[in-house]
Amino acid sequence: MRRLRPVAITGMGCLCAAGLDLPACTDFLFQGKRNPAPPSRLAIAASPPYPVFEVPDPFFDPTLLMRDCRLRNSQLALMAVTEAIIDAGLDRRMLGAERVGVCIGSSVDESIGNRALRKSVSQAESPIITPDHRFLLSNPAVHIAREFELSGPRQTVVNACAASADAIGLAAAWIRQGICDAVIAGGVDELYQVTYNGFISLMNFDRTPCKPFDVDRGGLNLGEGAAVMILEAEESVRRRRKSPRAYVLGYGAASDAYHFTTPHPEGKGLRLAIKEALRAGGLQPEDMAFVNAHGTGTLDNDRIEAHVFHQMFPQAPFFSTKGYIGHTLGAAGAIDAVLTIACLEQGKIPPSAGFSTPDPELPVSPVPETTAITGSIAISDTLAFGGNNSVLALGLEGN
Amino acid sequence: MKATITGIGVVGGFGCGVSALEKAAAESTGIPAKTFKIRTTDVQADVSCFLADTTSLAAFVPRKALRRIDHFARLALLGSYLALADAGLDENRRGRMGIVVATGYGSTCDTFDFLNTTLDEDDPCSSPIRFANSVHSAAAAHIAAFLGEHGPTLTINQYDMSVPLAFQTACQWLEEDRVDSVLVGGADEFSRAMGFYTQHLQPGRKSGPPPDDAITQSPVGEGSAFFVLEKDSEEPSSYAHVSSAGVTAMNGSPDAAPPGTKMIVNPDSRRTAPQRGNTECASFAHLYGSLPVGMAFDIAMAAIMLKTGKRYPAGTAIAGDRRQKVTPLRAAQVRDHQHIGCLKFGLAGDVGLVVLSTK
Repeated sequence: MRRLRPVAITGMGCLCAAGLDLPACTDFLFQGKRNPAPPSRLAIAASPPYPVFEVPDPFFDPTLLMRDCRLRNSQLALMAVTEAIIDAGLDRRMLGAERVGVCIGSSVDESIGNRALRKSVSQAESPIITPDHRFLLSNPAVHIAREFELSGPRQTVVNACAASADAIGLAAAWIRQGICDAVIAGGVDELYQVTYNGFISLMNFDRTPCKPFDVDRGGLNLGEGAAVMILEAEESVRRRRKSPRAYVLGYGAASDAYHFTTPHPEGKGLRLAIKEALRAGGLQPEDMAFVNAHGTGTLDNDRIEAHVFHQMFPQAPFFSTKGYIGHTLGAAGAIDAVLTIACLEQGKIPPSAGFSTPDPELPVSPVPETTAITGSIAISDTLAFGGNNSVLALGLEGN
Repeated sequence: MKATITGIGVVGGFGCGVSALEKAAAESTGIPAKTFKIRTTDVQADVSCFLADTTSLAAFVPRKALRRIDHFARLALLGSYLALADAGLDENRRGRMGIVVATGYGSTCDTFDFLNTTLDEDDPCSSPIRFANSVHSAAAAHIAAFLGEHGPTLTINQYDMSVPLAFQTACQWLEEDRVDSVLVGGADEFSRAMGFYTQHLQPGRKSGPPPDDAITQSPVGEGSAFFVLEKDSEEPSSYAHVSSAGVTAMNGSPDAAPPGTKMIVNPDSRRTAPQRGNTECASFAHLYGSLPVGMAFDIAMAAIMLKTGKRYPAGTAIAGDRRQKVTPLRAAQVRDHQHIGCLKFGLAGDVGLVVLSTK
């Protein structure tokens, strides 16, 4: 892996249980509150229901869009994109005139299409529309490209919980290799009955609000949301005289090659991904102001991360956002990436909601309170089903 | 930097391995299609399909280790092992290897089974194995675990554009020195969903969208086609260079193909090819059927022809927008191979193009 050019981030957007735009989400993290509740939109059998973190309604403003959109997943994505485009100082005319691509990570988008199709198949009815159309109707990358009449590539990454971190890393390569002038990159996932029941079947869903890195942690809570970044080529940034808000400095990805639902016991894939992200950015571990952990609250995930952080970033404070917003699966990497940049801009990181008692088996613990940070570079990591590990190194300076 | 295809692994209704595909291509016809009966409230139809047999996976993996691996992942695994064997790339020589899997539908059988238990029976204690296998990245994860590969692993799900996007990513990884080699390919399995898809195109149906002439010409296919890509290999056994790979919107400028490039068009897209001047088009979908990742098989055919110099009789290709009269180009042949482009016009208005060139 050689050192790669940083890629400018000129706009960001985010919505999740913590708020309907990025400033609201960031403020929420520092208010010490959280609002998990039983799912309001899912037909569920589990009793009592497991708590989730839903995006508060109404979040969708159709007056901001030119085209109709009825699917919640795509609505979430389009609201995040709209915020990011405004933040970047772009408009529809500029987007349509440039080579702008879309790279979105998601874990449920195709499955959403399957849900309606399955009903037709099981009831032996001819579906109103065919599976290919269902796929496209439920594909947020296609929705985004159509809404803003984009001419670049559109790609959906389905690397489970690492999907949107991978989407951002891949989109940065599109910029560096001249495939696009700009890329709308990020992730989205809505709460979905299949994943809700799936995580219950895996027995790693906490019946109480999740407690990442705490000695009494009992699993994750699911969340939903979307976050995107506008990645922009140097020439485009220069021409627009736009000051980048931050930079993608490095991206690394590696596989555990171990087990489908359990991380490698020594965090082999995570270590490799971190090393690759650092090498790509020409960075050293001591450059990191903090680490935004994946921190789902499951026993294995938190144990692996704590040991890896202790060995690779002994000086860096860390925290997890999952206690505030739940695990947003395919959107998690992107939401954590934009919140990482927001924390760098504010010069502080929040406490990890739900953490109160250190686990004696973990060599390090997250910060217990709002903590000032020094430095302008941070790491955000994600661990996924199938042993995918993806790491983004993000910074406020491009040099 | 050029990416070179040094190994190919294919599994489909024609059999498994490059030689089986070459044999089917040489004979052009004679691949037996199976019949799948679709019974709905308004239609009874027999759907022709090419089904793939993965029993030869036992040559690479102990059968016991496959107990929890579904058919979709087995297709991808077998394609991967065949590609690595074809490249002669054992674990000592492949360095850091990345894995990119493209799929149009993912593991539909497992997904539907899990949906049935969670939605119909509303069962919170449904099978965790079925849930895990329904996750789209399952096949790539199984490949990485069986091969013991710690490089980056990626699954792309952009329906009929998944394959060119996967090749684009594989070339990026090599370009950035992220990996020394990439195992890249596409897989899709036959399921009732795909049967319904075809059934919808049959005349005589009472509801749904109008039948599409362009898509009814090939049986539904399933299978996988995987490739080993390495940097700048001039090994005599290698197939071809990947000159370019990518996707753009129909209103973009997709033409990265050098002048005189022969085109293999994958015709099972609902939106078919607009006229491209005098470009000569061919199709080989009659060998492997209609499936979202069919373009991966086109790339295999292109690579084989560039390596061997052999010409195979092509099946029907479609040129012309479906709003106009569809014009099949029958029995076209790919000649003068220096460059062969594999072209796909996607349902959402994208254009996917992978251009291979002689070494």
